Amino acid sequence: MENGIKILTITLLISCVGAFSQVTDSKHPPPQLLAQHFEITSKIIFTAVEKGIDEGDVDVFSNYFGNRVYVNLPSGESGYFSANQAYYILKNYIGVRKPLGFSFTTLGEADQIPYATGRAAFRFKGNREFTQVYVALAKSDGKWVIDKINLY
Amino acid sequence: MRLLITNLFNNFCRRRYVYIVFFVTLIIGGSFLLEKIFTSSIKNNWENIKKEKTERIISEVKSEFNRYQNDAASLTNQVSKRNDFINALRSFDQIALFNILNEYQSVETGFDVYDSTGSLLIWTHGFISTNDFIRARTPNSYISPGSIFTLLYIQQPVNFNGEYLGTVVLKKLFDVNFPISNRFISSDIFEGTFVRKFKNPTKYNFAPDAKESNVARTISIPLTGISLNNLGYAYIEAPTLSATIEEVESNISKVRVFLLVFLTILVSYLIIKVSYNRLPLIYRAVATIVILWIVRYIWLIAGFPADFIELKIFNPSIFASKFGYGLGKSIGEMLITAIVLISSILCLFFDLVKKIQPPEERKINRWFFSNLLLIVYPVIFIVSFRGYIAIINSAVFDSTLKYIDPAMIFPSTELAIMLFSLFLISIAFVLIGIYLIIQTCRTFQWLININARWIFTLIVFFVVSYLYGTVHPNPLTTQLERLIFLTGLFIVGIIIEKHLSIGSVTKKGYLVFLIVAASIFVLVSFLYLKDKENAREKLEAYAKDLSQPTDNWFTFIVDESLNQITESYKQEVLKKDVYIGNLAFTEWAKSILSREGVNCGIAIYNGDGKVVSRFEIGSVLTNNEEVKQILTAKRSIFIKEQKDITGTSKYYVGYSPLFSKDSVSMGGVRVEVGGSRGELFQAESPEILKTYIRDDFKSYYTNIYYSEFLNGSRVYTTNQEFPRQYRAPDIVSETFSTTNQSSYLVHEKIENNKYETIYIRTPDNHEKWIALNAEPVGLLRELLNILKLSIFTMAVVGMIYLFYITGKIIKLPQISFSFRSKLLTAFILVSLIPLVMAAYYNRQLAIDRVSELSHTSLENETSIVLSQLYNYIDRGSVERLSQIDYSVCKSITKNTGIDFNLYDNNYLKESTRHELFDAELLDVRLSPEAYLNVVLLGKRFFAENQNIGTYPYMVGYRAIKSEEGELLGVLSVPTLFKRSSIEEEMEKRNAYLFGVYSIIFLLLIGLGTIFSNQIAKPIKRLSEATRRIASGDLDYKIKTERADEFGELESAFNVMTSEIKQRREELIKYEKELAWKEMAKQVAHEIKNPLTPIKLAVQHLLRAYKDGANNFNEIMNQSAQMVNEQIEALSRIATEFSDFARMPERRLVMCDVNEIMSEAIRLFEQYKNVVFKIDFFAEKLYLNADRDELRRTFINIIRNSIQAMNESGNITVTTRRIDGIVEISIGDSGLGIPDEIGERIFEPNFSTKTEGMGLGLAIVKKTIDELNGTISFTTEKGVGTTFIIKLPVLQDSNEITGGSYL
Repeated sequence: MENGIKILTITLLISCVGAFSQVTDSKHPPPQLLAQHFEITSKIIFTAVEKGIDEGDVDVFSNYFGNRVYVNLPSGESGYFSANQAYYILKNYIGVRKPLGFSFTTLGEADQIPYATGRAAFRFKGNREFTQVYVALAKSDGKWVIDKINLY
Repeated sequence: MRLLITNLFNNFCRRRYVYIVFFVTLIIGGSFLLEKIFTSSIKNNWENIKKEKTERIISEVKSEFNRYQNDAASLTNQVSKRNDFINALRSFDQIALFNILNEYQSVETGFDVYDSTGSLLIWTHGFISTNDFIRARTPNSYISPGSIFTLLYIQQPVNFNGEYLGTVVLKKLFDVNFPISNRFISSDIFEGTFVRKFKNPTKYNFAPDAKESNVARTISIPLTGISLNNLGYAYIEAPTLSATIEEVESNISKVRVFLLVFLTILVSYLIIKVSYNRLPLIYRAVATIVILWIVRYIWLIAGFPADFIELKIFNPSIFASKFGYGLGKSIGEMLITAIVLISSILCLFFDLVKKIQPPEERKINRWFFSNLLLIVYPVIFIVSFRGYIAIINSAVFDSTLKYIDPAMIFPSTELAIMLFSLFLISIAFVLIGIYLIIQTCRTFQWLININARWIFTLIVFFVVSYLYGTVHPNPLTTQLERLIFLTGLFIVGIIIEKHLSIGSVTKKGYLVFLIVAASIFVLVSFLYLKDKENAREKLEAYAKDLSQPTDNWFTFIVDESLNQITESYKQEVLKKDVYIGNLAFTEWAKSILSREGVNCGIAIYNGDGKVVSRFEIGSVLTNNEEVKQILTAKRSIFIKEQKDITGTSKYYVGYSPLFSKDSVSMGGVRVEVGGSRGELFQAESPEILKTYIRDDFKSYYTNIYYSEFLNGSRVYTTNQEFPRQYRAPDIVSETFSTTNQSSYLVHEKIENNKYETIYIRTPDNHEKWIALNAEPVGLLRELLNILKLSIFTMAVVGMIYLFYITGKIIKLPQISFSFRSKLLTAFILVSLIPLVMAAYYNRQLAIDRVSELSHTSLENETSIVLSQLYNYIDRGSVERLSQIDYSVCKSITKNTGIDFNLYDNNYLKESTRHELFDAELLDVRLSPEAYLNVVLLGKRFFAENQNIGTYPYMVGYRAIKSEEGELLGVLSVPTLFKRSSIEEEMEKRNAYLFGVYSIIFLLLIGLGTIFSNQIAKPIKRLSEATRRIASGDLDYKIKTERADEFGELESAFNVMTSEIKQRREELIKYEKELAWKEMAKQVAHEIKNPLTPIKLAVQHLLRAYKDGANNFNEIMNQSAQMVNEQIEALSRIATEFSDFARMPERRLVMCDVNEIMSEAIRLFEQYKNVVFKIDFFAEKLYLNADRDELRRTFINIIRNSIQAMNESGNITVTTRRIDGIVEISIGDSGLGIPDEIGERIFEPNFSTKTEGMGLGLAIVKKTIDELNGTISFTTEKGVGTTFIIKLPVLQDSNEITGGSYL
């Protein structure tokens, strides 16, 4: 009986681990990117980013992060990060700022790299902040993903 | 009343935790109401609050600024008043002035000293002054705003006897707006500036026309200098209602979270305490685990402690994983989760670390369930293994930590914490793995004989592991890795199971060591493998970046940069006819150019076509041919190709005119990017100017070279030693031509060197490939890397263990270490101290050696450059260095490969690498030490160490002299641009030193352990023998193995035990005789007592019969009754003696205490005036005892109680279980036991009653003692007595019926 309870507990613990864990896997992107029924175009991604920044919610576009994302923020975080890190870094930055409105002013493509730029306004600790946003995509396993996201 | 208060107080003390929980919950709930009240109050009184806050802000800003200014003024005054300073200034003794000023040198402060004519006499390392010196005879202060540095100037005239000698000028950093931030240059370096210290979101305006702001909601605060002159204004946003309310809500929320955290801890403690008292072992473990994880998630949701403590370990840029909805979203969260995980696992298997008992054979009577377990256990094992590997994977791929860093001697705090967290997780999974393996093995036990079960278990696990690898799309590990892991864990499992089977309690430390060692080994192995995999993937990603087509991309970058500059430039700047070094640099730093890290340049022109500012990285800005076009034409972007001996280089050029608001042309800007792939790879911008540090691969690769291929043949390479004619391996050509694959990794050998080469097919031209040839570090370096990681992990674990031991020592001062531990510690200390000293001095020696090499190298390089310079200088001419211009310098650099700077009249004349000067990271003035040594003291060569932020480098200076020996100028060669090779040299030495000393250290520990074991063995044998003798085993003999002093001691010990045995036997014999004599005496005495009345009764009867008494029948009856009574007494005496001597055989069985007590109580039902209050424990309490004996024990005590109460009163009987002990208490409401009697009540033959032998309680005590229990009592005169019996509980029915231990 006692051993049975131990096994049950271990199984529950491990099931929770398995259910909650999200494996960072460089060869197999998160399931949300494995869209089989429709193509995720660059426009869809830019729309999601625009909405996410406008609402101050990174979850709207975090699913489109590539395995490695270049992030550059005015708060000093700068470099290549994994998708999970990029999510939390942007969440920590955008999450504490109240968005005052954002939309992309330029959408373009350079050497098959779609990009978009725009100007965002935030309120942070009573002060207004204006930030230039620049997002670039790249192809990964045949699908578009967010490769760079700069705020400066 | 007094009783009521006492009762209330006692009640509170018993339930204090409950009350505390209640109050804290109340406070938390009340905080919401409090928040509303505060918010409402703020809204109602907002005007007054706003006024008060505004006044406070103004006062604060003014007082802080004044304090900052006064400190600087006071320092300047102090310098200017020094007698030695005044004397040195009078005599123009620059050397003395320099030495005095050096005492005040700091990062944020610089000094300039001017003589009475206004000429600069001496200066310290400082900042580029943007203002000219203003000659003043009175103390003065002003602030000079720059685009990068804003400085506070304090001028203090120096007078002597009314004569003006000169002026001391102190420059203190007010604000730094350095646009680049990386590991060398960051805001941390400038924490001393006023703006950073003050930490208020304030803007400043120190322009001559600064005035009060007319922007709504802005407070303007005037700032005055030391001579009450107007310096400028500070602007701060007025407090707003929403911001104030937000601040209050945030503070209340923080308090609320703290209280919530406290509440969770308290409630958890209470629940766990209650469960430990009432629940069986396994249920309380499960309850503890559930509570731990609930508390963990509550803390996570509440943001504790990440939102309250600003530590780097909570920064996701170092590590972040989405595991468990945030359980690993930073290193700090990972650590807390790891602690909770290991606590959960230890709760479940705590009996593994507690007292070890040997398992019994277990009969499996559920065949199907057992067979199911044979599948379930391995499956759970594989699932948990995958979970573990996923965590290691995340620790590598989701972090920017460098687990293998050649330059690292000690791990950083973040790395140490991460390693510790991973270590805890490794232990948890190793424990689970071992448990599952052992359980599987024991499940096999009933089917297969004892030796083969391990083999079958191994086979089952191998099969499941193989199937998992085949079926799962992403197993994260290879089959081989899984097999090795399984095999290793099996070996550990076998060893542990063996020790458990023989019940070796003394080997507990050894088992813990084994588990810890296995965990470290597993962790280091997988961490290293994953890190290497990560490095390879990063290399591939880098190669893919380099392979991207660049034309449109760089055109876009140029276009974006032009947009930004044309939007942000200031007209006033272009009106001036002066060169502003940092303007172009600032634009570069703000633009996308700095983030790309490419070779690029920006040139800004004024309306006359003159360069106002210029900044470039690499030789990009080629010429100014297009100046006219830049000023007049529309914006233009084009690609320029230039051929040279290395091949064709592409330049992406863009220019645009700059217009005023009235559309008048003010000037122009030119942006140029050098974009051939080779240049992209080399990316010449100095590391210190990079916004981010690109991944470096030095941990796994010594060198990386870039090559370009066309139709399979190499056309370009950065490695001059590669053969010119080289074709890529055929497999690459085949793969690229027949499949869609665009990258391929090959292990190849080129010129006897091994390389891992990644070939990438460019997307714009499939015939064109690029390749990165990465030269792996050798096997020795790899082993050293693994060793370093292992030692870091062991060191982190060792530190924690050290804290644990220190804590124990502090709490338990009587703790002592074994002789063996002391010996081992002594061995280690004696060898470690000289080893550490040797390592330290060797390292210093290595640093000195590198420094010496740098010094020698600089001397040679300056000499080479100087000899080249002399070709261009007319050393007889008075024009000094006028012939030397930028093109001459670049040509010398090209010939010699050495970058250098030229100084004329102590100011920078030319530099082959302007960027750091333009970035204002380097002072355009000659270094004061160089001035002192080369100019004043006339040394031919001088070298010094300098720093930019945390970036150290060396500079060599050489005097440029005319033929007559007159100083023409100074040449300097910095090691700034060769730092990577110096670093590489240091890294190699560090790696070598670290590796060698680590191996020696490990050897020392190993040998020390062996020697200390050998020396301590005989002492251990002696102490074991002593223990055995003390426990009564006098037949034990030590096997003497040695012929030394220890051998003699052992022989003497054996002789001593023989003699003790003999003496003991004699003593026992004597005591037995004595006891029998006492017993016989007692028996004789006790038997005589009833015999006398029997004799008298018989005599009386006989007389009555002889006399023919009329009442013979009556006499007969009386006599018969008397005889019967005395016979009963005799029978009782015989029974008591029998019990005492234990005539009947004892039979130990599993007894339910509650049941036996109930039986005993039932025997006393006849006593109507005795009320039994029974409070039995909710669960059955089992003991290993003789039923009858136990019942008699209870009966004896109850009988005594009834007698003590004169058969009327209350008897309270309770049974409890506290940890592993059953506690039985029997309390009466009798008169109590006097103190003098209390000491003797358990003695045989002691009684206060007229009847009985006085053996009752002696028998009770004897019974309890033999059951390994204790009996005691508490008594109060007039209140009653309570007997308390404590006996070891029978833990589990398995202990009697047999079963598996785990």
